[in-house]
Amino acid sequence: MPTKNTTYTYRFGIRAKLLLPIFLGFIILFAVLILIWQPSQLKKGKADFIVSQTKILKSLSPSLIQSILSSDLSSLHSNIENSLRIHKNEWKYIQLINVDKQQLYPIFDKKPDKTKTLLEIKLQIEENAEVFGDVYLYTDWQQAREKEIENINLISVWSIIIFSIIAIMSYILQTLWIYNPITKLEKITSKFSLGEYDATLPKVTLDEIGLLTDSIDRMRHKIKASLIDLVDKEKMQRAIVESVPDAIITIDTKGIVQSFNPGAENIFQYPASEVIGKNIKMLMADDIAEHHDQYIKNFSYSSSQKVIRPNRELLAQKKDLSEFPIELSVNAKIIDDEYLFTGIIRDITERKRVDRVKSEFISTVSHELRTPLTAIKGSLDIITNGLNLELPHQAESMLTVANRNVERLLNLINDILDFSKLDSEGMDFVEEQFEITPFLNNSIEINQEYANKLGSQFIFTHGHEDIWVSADKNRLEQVMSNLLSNAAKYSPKDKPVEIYTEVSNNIIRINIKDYGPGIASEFQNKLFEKFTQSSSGNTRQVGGTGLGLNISKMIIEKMGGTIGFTTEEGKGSTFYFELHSV
Amino acid sequence: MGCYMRKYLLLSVLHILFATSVAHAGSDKSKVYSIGIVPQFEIRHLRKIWNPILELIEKNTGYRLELKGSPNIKDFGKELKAGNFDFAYMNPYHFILANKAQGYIPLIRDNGRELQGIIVIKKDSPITSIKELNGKKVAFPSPNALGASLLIRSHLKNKFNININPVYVKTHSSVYLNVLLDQATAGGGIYKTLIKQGENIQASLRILHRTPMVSPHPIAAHPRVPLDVRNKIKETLLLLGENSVGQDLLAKIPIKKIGHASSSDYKAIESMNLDNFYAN
Repeated sequence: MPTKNTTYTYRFGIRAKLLLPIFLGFIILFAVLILIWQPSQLKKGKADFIVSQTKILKSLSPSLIQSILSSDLSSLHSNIENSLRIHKNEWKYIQLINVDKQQLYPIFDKKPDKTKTLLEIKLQIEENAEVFGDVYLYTDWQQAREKEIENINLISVWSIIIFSIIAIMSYILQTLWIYNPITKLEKITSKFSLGEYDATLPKVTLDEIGLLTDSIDRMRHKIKASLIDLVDKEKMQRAIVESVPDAIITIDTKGIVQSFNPGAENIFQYPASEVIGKNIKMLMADDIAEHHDQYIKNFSYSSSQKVIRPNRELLAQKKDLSEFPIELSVNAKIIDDEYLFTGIIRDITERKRVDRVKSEFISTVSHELRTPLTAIKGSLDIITNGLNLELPHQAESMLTVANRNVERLLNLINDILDFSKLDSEGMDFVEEQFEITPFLNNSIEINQEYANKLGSQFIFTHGHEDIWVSADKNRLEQVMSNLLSNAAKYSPKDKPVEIYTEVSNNIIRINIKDYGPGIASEFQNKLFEKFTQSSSGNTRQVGGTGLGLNISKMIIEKMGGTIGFTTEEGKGSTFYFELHSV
Repeated sequence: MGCYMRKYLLLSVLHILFATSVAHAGSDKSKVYSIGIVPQFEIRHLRKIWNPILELIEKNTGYRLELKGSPNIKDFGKELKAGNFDFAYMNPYHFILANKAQGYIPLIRDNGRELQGIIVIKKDSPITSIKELNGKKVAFPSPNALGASLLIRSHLKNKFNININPVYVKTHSSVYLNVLLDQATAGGGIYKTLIKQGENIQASLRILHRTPMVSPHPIAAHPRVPLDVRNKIKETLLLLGENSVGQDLLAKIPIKKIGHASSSDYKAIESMNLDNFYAN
């Protein structure tokens, strides 16, 4: 696994994140102090000031009324002047207007100039609902305001100091309790990421970070254990791959060899170092290598089928450029978002040689058997039909038995010969174009005699005109004979065997339908294998070598067609083969 | 500090001077006489003014003068009329009454000034003649203030036959302010109090008329007080006016320049028929 040892430079670390709410709180506190609390406090201070000033002024009014009532303007004036003196810091000017709108005070002084802090308070002086005049007090809020501001500032400064202390304390505590443990943990875990799983974790604290540390510790143990396990498994797998005699080669989508096991080294005679990193084509026979790139290109990546033609036989090339047969199966796997193809290759030189020897042996034996058998059959034919001899009844029946068994033996040998030819690819095909319907009519006619013997009848129920195929006529005739004779063998006497064709998309399908017992489900899978009959015990009774269907399948496939059947037990079977029409 | 030291020295000198007279004052030494003071100030203030003077008189003559207070001017007048005081300091009108009722004899008076009433109006007032005050509102400190009220009211009636609408506003300052603030067309006062007002006020007022002058407050004695006692006390008081310490004490009464007083000094007032204007 690649380890990335990256040093992250982050702009907004955990400490900044923890500090941010404190900072925001600070701004909010500051804003509230400056924008809301201070103005409201000032406003309240101003209102209080006006109330208190009005109160003082009110307390003055009885003596003013007394003076007005007694026309004692002197005491009125000294009263007012006295009050102005007492409150000289605030009271800048008093105006007293009587009910006749005459100004009783002051005589000469002018109203002071308006300032921001100079407030005008009007008070009606009255007693027992009798009004005596209005007093206008011009009082300066300046000093009280300054005092108020001083108080406000003091409280603000203390709030900020206290908040700052709290902020600093929480910063320190956050650093001690959160930031430091996390950085410590980060340092240790980054060591883990470099594979140093033995690095000591910090002491587990009784909080979430402690839980995290604990769970990292458990994870560390698990990873360590898995890693050991993984290494063991990998060793084992490597041992398997290295010990198998087959070649196991992996390539990428460009055909470049990624791995090459000792089995491959042995088979291809190349050391792994000479192949890894090179194109797989160097291991192929020239005509295959030519098309290999195209094979990979054509591989359907969307397909769920990741096995590419199991057990395909090909020709490979060794280091000394000698070609040899192999059996290849390819698997495609996605690893790290890339397709990786694994090929398992088996050298089948020896097997091919053994097969060939076997085929040659069978061919030789068959020929050697057929020659005397042909002679025996000729002799028997002459005895029974050609000489018109009067034979005792017992001898005649014995001759018939002999004749039938010789014929069976000949058929068997013919089949074995065909089979071995097909198997060793020793059979030649001569392709020609012909119309299918006359071919079928002819085939039915030829085989009708055999059917008659079994009490069966062929009916060509439906055909197509002017459909031509390109095939080896004799071999196709052989297939027809096999399928028709099979149908006749299994068909009940009162039911015909129906032959009909179907055409779609340049494919013609020839069907042979019987109303026999059908094929038991356990046989359906191995019907086209060698020496198979629907019932082994029945072989003698119905006759046949058990090679017919196998041979038919090989012939049809050699001609690029397909062969198959549908069946229903107790109701019958339909065998068919399909060919491309031309 | 130096000033006080000098005063103290002078007082000691006075004591030595008086010591000779004390020696032959022998016979009536323990006799106590009463003295009534017109309650123009509150009693505590009066005692502060008079006690040092009375102490000096006792030291000098051997006669003890006991200050008798009256709650108000009205009661003072009644007591005076009843002859309750051996000695008394009073205004000229009261003296006329006391003289008539009990035969009080004037001893000394302030020779430094004369009493004269003034009528003030606003400087920018359209009034030019005193006759224009007929039917107008005129402010006075109180009905019985001699210079500022009685003299003026009797003068206006007797000399000009003018009927005014008087309002009493308690103090002289109040009178001037009432005039200044258009609460009254004119006001009655005396020159001494006018010049005590602020410059602004003085500058905004003008004197429309002055009454004839009369002698100010006398200290008088009841005829029952023996002549030599009267004379000794008169001498002592006159002696005070001869040095600065004594003058300072007298100035607080207030007596600017102490001198002899005689019944003839008050003939002018008697002729004014102030009785008609006095409010009982």
